[in-house]
Amino acid sequence: MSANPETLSAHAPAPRAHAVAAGLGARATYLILFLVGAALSIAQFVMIRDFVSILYGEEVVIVMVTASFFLGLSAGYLFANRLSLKAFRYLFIISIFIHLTFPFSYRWIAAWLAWSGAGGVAYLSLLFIYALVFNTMFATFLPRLVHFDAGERLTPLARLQRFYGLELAGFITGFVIIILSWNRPLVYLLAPYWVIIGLVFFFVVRNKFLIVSYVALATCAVMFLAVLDRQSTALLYMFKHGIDLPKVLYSVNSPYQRVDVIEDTRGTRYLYLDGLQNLNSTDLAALNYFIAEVPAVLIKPEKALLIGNGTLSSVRRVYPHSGAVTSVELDGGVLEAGRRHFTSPESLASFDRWRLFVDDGKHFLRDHNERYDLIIVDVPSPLTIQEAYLHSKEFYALCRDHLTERGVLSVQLSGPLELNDRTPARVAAALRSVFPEVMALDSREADRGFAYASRKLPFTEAALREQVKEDGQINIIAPERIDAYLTHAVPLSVNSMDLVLRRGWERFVRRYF
Amino acid sequence: MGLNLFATLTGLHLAIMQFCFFFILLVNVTSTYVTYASVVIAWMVGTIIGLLLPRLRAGVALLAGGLSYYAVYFLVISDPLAPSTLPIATFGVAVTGLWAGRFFVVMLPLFSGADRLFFHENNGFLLGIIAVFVGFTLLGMPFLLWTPLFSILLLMGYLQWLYHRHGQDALRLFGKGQPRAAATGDEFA
Repeated sequence: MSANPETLSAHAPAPRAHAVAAGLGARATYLILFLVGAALSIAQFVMIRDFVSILYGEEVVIVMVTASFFLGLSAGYLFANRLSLKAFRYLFIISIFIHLTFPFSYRWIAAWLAWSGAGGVAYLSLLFIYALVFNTMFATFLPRLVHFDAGERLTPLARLQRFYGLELAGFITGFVIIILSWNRPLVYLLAPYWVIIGLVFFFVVRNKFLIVSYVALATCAVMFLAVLDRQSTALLYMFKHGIDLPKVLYSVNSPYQRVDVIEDTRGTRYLYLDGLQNLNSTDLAALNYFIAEVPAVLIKPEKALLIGNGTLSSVRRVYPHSGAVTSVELDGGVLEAGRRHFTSPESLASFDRWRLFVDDGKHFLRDHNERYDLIIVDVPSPLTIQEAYLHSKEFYALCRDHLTERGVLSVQLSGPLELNDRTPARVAAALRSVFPEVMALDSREADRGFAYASRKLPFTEAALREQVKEDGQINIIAPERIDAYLTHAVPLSVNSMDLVLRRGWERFVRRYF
Repeated sequence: MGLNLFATLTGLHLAIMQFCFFFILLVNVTSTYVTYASVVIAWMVGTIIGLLLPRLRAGVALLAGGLSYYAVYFLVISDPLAPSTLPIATFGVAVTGLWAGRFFVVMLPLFSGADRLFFHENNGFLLGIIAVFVGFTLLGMPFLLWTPLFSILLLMGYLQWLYHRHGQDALRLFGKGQPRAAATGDEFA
């Protein structure tokens, strides 16, 4: 087609008052669109991270929150050209001032909902209302500015090309701001965000009193953000997670998830990833014992590889029994949380046979040819696609290819192994589809099962029982009996991750309905 | 109805392409943030270029996007660790993103306002996000292999149907016809 937009003058509506403010020039309009793009980018990140954390980060919740964000955009597009300039301005002013209450206002409301015992409808309403507040008004800018001629002497088509291009350029800029804020306190993200929406506010509202009010409130919000962030986070953990007088020791957005370290009145520390408890300092000892120390003691590996275990708490358990130890953790935010609150760097300083790589486990394995006598996969339960992959038969096959002939893969099963098609059985079935020998162990103390898989296990059931005899509440399932537990379980694999959907949905419904 | 549905199907297609790209890279190459950032930024850059291109037919754009996707698909499966994999994949994402920009330029004259166009496209994108999540968790790699092809064929088929039913207006989508003198947005209603 002939796409010269300047020739499409017939499409231009009659000149009207500016779509968002009177007396704006073309340059100001361009700048507004660019800033709106940046604001939408940051708003998307803040909203998805915070609401996923509030509602707990299973993949089902992540998709639900993301869908809500796009629903908010649709609402903006739906009403964009139907709002009068007056209505648009009022709604915009209200929305901008509510933005200054992010993130504490919705955390307070969520904590109050938890305290009052509200159900899922209340939480979903909160999510949807904030989706509207987060982005609906920003979404109205582009269609309004394309539709109403603001004196740029351009056709709607030319305006669309320029304005949408600028909005997307702003979106990329916002994305860069987000990247720069990763693993840093929230102020590094929200301060630029409030400056960006403040500039939009300045161009659109042009009212001295409102602008001065905004600047004053934004300054206060920045000054008190650290306190309000911790206080509102603590409230959530107190009322929603039931932790007694929680103290927020660490809270950042990493590139992958929200990372919180919480301490209760008894001094127990909890690591939460996207609102889901990953571990606590009380259970950590039992977890590390069974997943890392037991196989390390039994095997005495020349080379050991730890995948996951961002707190690095397993390193001390494996190192005394191993020749060389390599840790691979994807998330620098979790590593930092571990260094500060679970495993001090000083305690690892003398470990000259230990190396740390910040990388994706599967990428590390594909990129390195080394073989190990022991590979420990200490990753969260398969509640997201990314985590489920690390419990899949494809990943276990990759691990097998990096094991020595009698090398052992050690994993946690996210629960006790039983005859059903739940997570522990699905994970054990994935192991069994790759390894000839799988031995499982259920520990009441650790509140979960563990599995040791190998081409030929270098230790017997009796040796394992002897090693863990101090712990009286242990059930060991020998390799010859393991298949009897797996008759109902389909191995977790890339082509069969229905568990992520099913378990995520079950947990969500049980929690809120 | 016809154009609204086409916009929704396009949004669905764009979400399918973007998230399928993301998942093939996540599963086969790496799930570090570099992958996510590369896909997002390349898609945006492709969209901006698509907005500014003076000429690009719908069929060519969809085909180029499909070819890029399948080239990347087979590349990451055959040689996931090649140093060139991510740059090539990024280029493929940008090529696929061209239609995400060009689509709005082509369609705006057929709608009474950008609000309706963005509304229907965004609704499709929302559906696409949910569809890819459900589809991938249930079907895995076969979903990533076949769904983009199905999506492209669906859009092309729908375009053909629009062409046979409405002639000149649909021709514009293929870049063959002249723009209408005036557009109400309800031509295919």
